[in-house]
Amino acid sequence: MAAIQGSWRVTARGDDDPRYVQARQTDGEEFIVAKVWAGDDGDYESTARLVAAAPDLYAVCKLLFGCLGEVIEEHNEVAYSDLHMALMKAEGET
Amino acid sequence: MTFDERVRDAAPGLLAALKEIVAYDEGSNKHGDFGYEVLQRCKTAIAKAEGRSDVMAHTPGPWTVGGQSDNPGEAEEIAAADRVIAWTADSYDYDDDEGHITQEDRANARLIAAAPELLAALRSAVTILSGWECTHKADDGDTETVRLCKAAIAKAEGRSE
Repeated sequence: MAAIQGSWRVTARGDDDPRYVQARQTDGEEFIVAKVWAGDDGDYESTARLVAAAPDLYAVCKLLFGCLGEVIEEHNEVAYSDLHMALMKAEGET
Repeated sequence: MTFDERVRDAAPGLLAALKEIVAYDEGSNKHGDFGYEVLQRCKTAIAKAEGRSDVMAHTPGPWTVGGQSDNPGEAEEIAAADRVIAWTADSYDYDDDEGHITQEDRANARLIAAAPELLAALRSAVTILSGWECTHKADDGDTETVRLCKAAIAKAEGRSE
């Protein structure tokens, strides 16, 4: 089973409340995917943004790996390996 | 003059030198002259000196899928270091009036936990490809791929591209 694709965005009910990441389905209906809260550290806004960007990051990493993976590997094997490992982690292969 | 005073005195020159190194590498497209890791450290130091370190304000990775939450509405826990930073939502079943953790919920948790690594890998790849594009007459498809990558990075950093 793949993760929910599509547009994820950050919402909040109040400034000091947890941030919610919502996904929009093709029919326009939205539902909560995740709740982000990191206590009083104040970094949960940025963390929520990164969570909301996860499907986009995965999609372009997958595209990049397929289209330009060889170019990246030719220039930097570590960067290529990091990209491969990140995709495997996202797909539950590690 | 103390060590700290000498460092402060030298800082503007050091910053300018770091910028010249990065500019030379990007302009010449000879990635590897200074070593990739060295260049990344140069860019991080420049960003910090210029007050742009906020792009890394999210909870540092690695993130892991920590386990199942006992609270209603919550499915899998996402942890960083020794604390939980996020929870995926469970899937509500109207038939039995309960939430259930589905395969999709688990896949979402894995995807979310990989986000810091995906972002870091993408940044590295885009740095490499930006130089490559300049000298290899990348086709429209490759250029569009790099543009999509930059847009995804911008979204993750809360910027508009």
